[in-house]
Amino acid sequence: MEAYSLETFNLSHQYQGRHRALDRIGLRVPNGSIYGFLGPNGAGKTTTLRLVLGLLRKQEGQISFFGKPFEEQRIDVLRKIGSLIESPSVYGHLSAAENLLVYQKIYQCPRKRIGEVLESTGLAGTGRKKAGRFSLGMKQRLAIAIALLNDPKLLILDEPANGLDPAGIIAMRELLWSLNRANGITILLCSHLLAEISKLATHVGVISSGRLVFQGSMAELRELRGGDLEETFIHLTEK
Amino acid sequence: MSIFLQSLSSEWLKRKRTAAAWLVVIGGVFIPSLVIFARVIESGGLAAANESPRLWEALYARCWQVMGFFLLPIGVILATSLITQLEFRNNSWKQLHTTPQPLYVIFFSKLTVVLVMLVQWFILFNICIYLTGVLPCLFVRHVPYPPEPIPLRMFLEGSGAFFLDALPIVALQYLVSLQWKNFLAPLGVGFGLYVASVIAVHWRYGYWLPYTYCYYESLGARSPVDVSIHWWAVGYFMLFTVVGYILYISKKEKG
Repeated sequence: MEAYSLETFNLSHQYQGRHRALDRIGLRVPNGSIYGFLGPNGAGKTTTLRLVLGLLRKQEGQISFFGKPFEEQRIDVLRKIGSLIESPSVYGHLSAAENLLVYQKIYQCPRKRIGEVLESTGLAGTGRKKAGRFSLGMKQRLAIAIALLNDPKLLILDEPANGLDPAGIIAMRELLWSLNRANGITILLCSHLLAEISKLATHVGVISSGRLVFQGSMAELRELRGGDLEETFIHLTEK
Repeated sequence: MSIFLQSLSSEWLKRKRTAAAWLVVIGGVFIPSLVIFARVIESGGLAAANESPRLWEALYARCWQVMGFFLLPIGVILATSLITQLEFRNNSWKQLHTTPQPLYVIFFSKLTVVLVMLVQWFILFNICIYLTGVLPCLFVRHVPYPPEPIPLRMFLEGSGAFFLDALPIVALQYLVSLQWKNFLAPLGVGFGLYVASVIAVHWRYGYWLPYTYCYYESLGARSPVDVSIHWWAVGYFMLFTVVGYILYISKKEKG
């Protein structure tokens, strides 16, 4: 069995007329881990995720999921992935259940999954209310429900706590924790919030100015500067 | 094939309650409603008109005249742009492009939704043309039920011709709408080309413009050109579809 759910090799990217956004990134997300992908705003986190999911055309480097090259096995790989990139993608004129039905028809997962993910994200009571009338936090939860719908092996979440209130953040944390522990889902969690990552992640990658400046287990990160994560983070990202 | 049908079913659900879905209903009902209203108001010769052997031809021509040169092109411009803009407006291209479907499936299932909606529009419109002949006899005394059978073949052939003539508009609007996030871009291109077509329709080479064919069809025998506009329409449709697909798969950013 492959050791990593996601690996990138020398992944680089440059937006037209701008500086190099990513410089030879070599992510390694171990199977069964919660991988916190940390970095300050504009460090290249979202660009990395958009590249690995094929939303940006790759310029340099390789991407591999579950030991398979992404470009050659795109459809097969995407079947096993759930994702939430940046702001939530929900159809405002449809209800939460209808939004999920749109994706259920593509993934061909059992219909009962719709009820299950609505329940697990706390949206079971939204009924016919259109998603356009949801608060940002509810839209975010619906986007997480969409990402969970196909029962993925790897969940890629970009700033999932955005827009959630404190209770929502705790509920999301518990949900991700249980998905990882009970179902063995590997989670790649991208955030600029050190506190959030430190509570969940088993492994960490720190990106700064397009370069991966640290990658290892959370324990290894803690050991770097005597256990002070904040100081470690600042030290790494200011290097 | 099954992956295409799954995608089509998903895309079809997205159009539920959208302005484009309502446009199909309004587009199909609007002109026949006006014709029914006008017939009931001018009820003097209504009984004789309903008994006329040319009733269906007259009603058909009356409804299609305005539909063909104005409402159909404008409606197609709006509906195609609205369907495609759904993804931009809801910021959902990125989610759609991370689903396990080949890009050609996404492209053609969306296009198929627009074409099926056009068929829906035509079916509704033809039913309403039928009602323009039938409903007045329910509301106005002494007006008989039309004795002539509905010329189904004429209805089908006429609608089929207009369908073919609308295809270049669908394909070009689809192409433009997929490229620009700003809703005004496809509308600007669409309305600009429509106005250009109205101006150019009496020009010798007016048929070179891809938005003129519905107008020519509505002119019928009075059309100033003697080329096969349907072939031109199909040719443009294929050209715009191929170019649209190439541009779509070549986009550097997919959401």
